[in-house]
Amino acid sequence: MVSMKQLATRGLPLVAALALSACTIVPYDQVQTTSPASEQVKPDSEPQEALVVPQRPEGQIQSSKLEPTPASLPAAQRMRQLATAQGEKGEYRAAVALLERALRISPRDPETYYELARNHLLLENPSQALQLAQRGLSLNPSPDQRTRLEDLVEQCRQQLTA
Amino acid sequence: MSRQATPVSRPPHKDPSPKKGWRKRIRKRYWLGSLLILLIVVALVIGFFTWRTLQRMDARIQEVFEGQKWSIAARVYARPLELYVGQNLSRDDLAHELGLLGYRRSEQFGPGHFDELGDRFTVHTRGFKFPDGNEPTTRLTLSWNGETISDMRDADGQELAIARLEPVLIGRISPAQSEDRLLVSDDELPEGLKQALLSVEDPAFYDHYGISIRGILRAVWVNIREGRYAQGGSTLTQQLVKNLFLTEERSLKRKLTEWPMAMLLDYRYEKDEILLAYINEVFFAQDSKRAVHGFGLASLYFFSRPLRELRTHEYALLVGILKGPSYYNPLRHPERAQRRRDLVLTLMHKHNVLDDAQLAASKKEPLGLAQGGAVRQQPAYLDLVRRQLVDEYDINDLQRNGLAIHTNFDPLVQRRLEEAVATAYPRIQTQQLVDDERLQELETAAVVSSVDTGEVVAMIGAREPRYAGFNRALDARRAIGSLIKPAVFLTALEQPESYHLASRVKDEPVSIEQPDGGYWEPENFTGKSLGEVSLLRALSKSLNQATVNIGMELGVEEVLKTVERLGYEGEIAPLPSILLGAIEMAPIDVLAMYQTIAGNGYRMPRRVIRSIQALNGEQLKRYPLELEKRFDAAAIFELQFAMQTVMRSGTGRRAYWYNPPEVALAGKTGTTNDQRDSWFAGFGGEHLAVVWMGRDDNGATPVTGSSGALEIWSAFMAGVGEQSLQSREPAGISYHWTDLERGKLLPERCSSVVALPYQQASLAIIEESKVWCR
Repeated sequence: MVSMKQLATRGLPLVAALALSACTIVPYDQVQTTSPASEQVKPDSEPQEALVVPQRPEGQIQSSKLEPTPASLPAAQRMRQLATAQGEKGEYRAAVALLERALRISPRDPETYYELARNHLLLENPSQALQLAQRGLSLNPSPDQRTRLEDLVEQCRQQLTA
Repeated sequence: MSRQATPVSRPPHKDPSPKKGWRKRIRKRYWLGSLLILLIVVALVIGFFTWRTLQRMDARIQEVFEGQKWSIAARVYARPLELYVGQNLSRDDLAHELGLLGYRRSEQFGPGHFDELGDRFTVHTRGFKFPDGNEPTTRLTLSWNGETISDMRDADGQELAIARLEPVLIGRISPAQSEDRLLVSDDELPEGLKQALLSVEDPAFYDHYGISIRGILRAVWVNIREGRYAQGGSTLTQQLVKNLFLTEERSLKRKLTEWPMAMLLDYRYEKDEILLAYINEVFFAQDSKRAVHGFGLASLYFFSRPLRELRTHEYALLVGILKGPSYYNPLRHPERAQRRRDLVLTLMHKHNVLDDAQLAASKKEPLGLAQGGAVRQQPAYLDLVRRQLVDEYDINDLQRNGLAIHTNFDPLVQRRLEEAVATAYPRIQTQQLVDDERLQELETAAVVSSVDTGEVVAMIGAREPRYAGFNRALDARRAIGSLIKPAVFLTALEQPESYHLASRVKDEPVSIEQPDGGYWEPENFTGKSLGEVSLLRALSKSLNQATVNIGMELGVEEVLKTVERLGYEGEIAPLPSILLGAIEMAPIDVLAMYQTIAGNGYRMPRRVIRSIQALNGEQLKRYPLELEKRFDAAAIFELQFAMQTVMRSGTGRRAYWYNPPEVALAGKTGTTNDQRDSWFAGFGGEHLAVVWMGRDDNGATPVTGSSGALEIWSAFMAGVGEQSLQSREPAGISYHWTDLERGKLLPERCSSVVALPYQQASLAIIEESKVWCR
């Protein structure tokens, strides 16, 4: 056993170092009331304290005007151009591959979903085209994109019922 | 016999010459004639059989040489790293990827080189034949703004929109014991490799007819002198014949087969074709169960770079190894191998392949072996790839036909995942005061996918990620505990005319009769019941009794339907205990369920393989993105809101010890009875990760979902620099000030209220308080 005195003389630098390293490891623990090192966190142990819910931008609650989807990065736009060129040659599968590359680069551009859906429809796969078009509609499209996506959804539905 | 004998025995009447001499002559002639005939017959027979044998040899040579000479294991590739302006990619990550690809950091130009100049990178890519087209070799100059690539240009200074590096090879699909090789073509051979090889192994290669009489005589002389069979005097052609067509034994019979076959091979084919076949055939090393054959694979195995980029001293080493692959193995006997390499260099100098200066410079070079020697395998992810392939293809085709399997594996994400495990274990040990032995028994598994596409990008099947054993990510089926709760609450939120986040639910003791007549009386983790709480609090605090009460209200069958719609495909018995996660799932199954939540209600089947390419580069199959809308976006939005609350002030708070507060994350803990299993599943803007911790013997552990799995999850999210979850409120969602304690809307913002999202239908059932701020 190490006596308190020994600890105080020999262990103090160590304790200090541990404390320092704890600070660097746990940068966001200011919100914590308990020290992470000393006490096991029990998930359900809190009294009914206030919940911290996700904050809306600037604390607004009025349904704010959604900012438009940021346009695709130039690389994704380039992929779409190449896809269009393939589509014009009737190479719809190649176009789909390119559009999926565009999607990896800029995953939430309704335009890419529109093109994907269009190519799937040309590949006579209306059910997948329908899903893709709906996904595009869920990504806050511009009015023009919305019209085109809705037209596409309609076409898919017609083909599916026919 | 008798017929032949008859005319001889009857004496002719008209010749009165002495009987005896005549007979003698006749008999002599008879014998000579017979002997001659016999010899002719024998010669004919031998000739015939020799001819037949040669013909058969010839046919076999042609069959083997013109067909696919070797069975080639399928190669499995990571995703190629795409480079583009606006991409978040640190210089460190780029350097790491280039390191995996064996790029040299140097000021020299040429494919496979890169250099860091201040805050810019120049990268000379190698180019790659992708299934969707050729990526040419390009010299790129990249600049950064923070962690984002801000500019990319080609060698002419033209701006480039996008470029792809070649993909990292992460493994092979091959039989347990097997030969492996990477075929090279003539244009992939470095200048001088052929000369080096011929200088040492067969200087007269271009002059002999497959066998070298001088070589054979010399071998005979050596063998006589040594008094044993020591030397074969083989030409390259003979060695190739031996390797391709004959067995290992050293016998005269084999020699007698080897010589004519070598001559036939030489007669049939061009010298260069034979040399190339030799280069692709020869044995270099045994890498556990895999035999490394051919210069192409040997180059990757020893140097981690393609053959065409090897320098003189490097291919000289490869040529040197051939004399005795085990004896001269540079990984095990570096000094011996270096002496052998220097001898090869000297022979090259003697044959005028190298001049004095080149010889001196090459001898000064170190061996230059790649760290670790072998291509780094990814056992857990490969296992996942293999299982998908075996379901769809004949395993023999896979192991032999040299297919290229392009996957979604991301080495940079994998690196962060492995680092997270290494970081989290010591933290857990310190925080939970676990002794070494108990920590040792604490196993883990994790899977990471892309939120937007369902592509599985990283995976570990064990605490030691290189350990190719039990793959817990796929095979450790364990009770998921509270990970089920989002399914229960989603079932409620899909009925907005009855439930919303502020709905009151009873967190009170429950007693449910079991089919066996007993009673199921689940308790909360703390043992305390909180009384009436909001749905939001019930999920964020992971309250068991509240969950069971609401689940029983909804009906177990309804909750099960939700679990299935989320993407779980196994069988589940409809018992009330499933409401608290008495369902056994592997981490990969949990991933499927949470993928649908992270994907805003769109189910995306997991995607492991992107495409399959034949040996000739042709694309055989592509696996496209598939999605299917399974849930209304508004209900999922509310659920994600609650799962973010879990992270801000519920059981997932620990994540913000390590992640910046401005990054929105969503997730759920899971802890099973006696803390046998510690789970965390959650996502940010880019990645979905599921982590499990527990013991292989299903014993109690010192960790909960929060103090165990969440440590790894949080370290991972911090490591990848996760983007904030972007929850765009879908149509039909509006926010209202809510008094959570009473479950009422308030007309204005007060200090104790929160803004909650509601679906339209819910607004009809929630009461609006007439009281203003208290």
